[in-house]
Amino acid sequence: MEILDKIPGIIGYAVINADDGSIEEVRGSSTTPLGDLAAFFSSAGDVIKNSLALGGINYISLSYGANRLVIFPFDSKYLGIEIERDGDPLLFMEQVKTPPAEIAQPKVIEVPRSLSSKVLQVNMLVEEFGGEANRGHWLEVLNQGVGILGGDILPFIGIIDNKLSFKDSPPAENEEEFVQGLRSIIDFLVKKAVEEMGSSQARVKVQVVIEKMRQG
Amino acid sequence: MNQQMVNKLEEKGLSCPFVIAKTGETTVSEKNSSLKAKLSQMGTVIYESIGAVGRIKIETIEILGKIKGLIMEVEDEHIVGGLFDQPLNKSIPDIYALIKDTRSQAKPVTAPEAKPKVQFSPVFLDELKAILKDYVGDFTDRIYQNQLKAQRINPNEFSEEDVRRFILALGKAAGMIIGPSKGREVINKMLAKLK
Repeated sequence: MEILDKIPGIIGYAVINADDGSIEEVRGSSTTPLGDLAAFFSSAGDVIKNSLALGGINYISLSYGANRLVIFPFDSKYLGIEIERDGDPLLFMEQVKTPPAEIAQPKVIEVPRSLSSKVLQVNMLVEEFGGEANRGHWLEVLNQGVGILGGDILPFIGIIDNKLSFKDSPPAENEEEFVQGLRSIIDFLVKKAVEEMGSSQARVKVQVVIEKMRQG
Repeated sequence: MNQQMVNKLEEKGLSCPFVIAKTGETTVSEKNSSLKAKLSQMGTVIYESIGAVGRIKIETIEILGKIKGLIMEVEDEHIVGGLFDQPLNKSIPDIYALIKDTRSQAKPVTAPEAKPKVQFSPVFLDELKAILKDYVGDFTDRIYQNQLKAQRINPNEFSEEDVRRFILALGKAAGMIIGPSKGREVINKMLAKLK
């Protein structure tokens, strides 16, 4: 379900097998157990739908804290997408169901340099720390960091094709707050690198990234 | 009281309002008495699902089918909501506003053992933040602010239940930085402040 990675506003998602209720995939930076929530409530929805004659499920929405999980049938699966609480479930479902080829004009994403340079630094650190062999692990670490430290930036960014990327243009008034968020994520990655490979090796790798960024 | 609330919701235009207590006790209007058993079963399924996931405080649930839809507010001891024919004759935010308004006028009867909400001083949150700082240092402000927002805690007015939820969220987030055992330590230290 790579299309879900690219839709702005989707913080995380789970794919549930509609036949047996098993969790097939959970992705994104959410700190909520999306797989469990989507699995339990898609099954509950099936039971309730039959008992109260609701007809085919359009969607199930659960609100908790600042977010909501929207669960809806898609082919032979249930998708559970986490969005902000005031997001419109129908709008997101429509985007998921529209094949990318049918989207007339892809949106131009404008990101201020202060943010794009931080995102570049994040991606270079992940590449340097993980290399080819350990990239998956470092992308997981990155996802954790984004989930707990990203804050309001979460709906605007995500990991697309193994890189942290902007999915939508961030609002200008939040630029400073988003820079702070990305700075924290960088600190988090460096802290994890020190823990995992020791301070001297981590420092060398950070230095390589700084050097590469300096060279442009 | 629950019957009064259901009747008020019906008067205000909800065709099939209900209150389902965690104990299973279900209140519907006289007109909808034939649905009482099925709504009660639905309540059981919802409470079981919430219990199975456990860690998340679910506040509202919508289950929208092609023929009918359910819109519900979930509180600790009861669910208040309505069963509607599709298409809905009111917007979903309007339905929630109606439920909230009616609920504030006639609070549903909760289980007798339900604890009253204890109010805390905002200073208490500063104490939690100080504990967090001992463990996560420079990450404190971001974790604290993000979780305050994610858990929708109003720093000027919060209950013990809010605090517990907030502490668990802070401990979980801290655990991702300092490891799960230290995260548990954060939770225990913060919970000790509650006693």
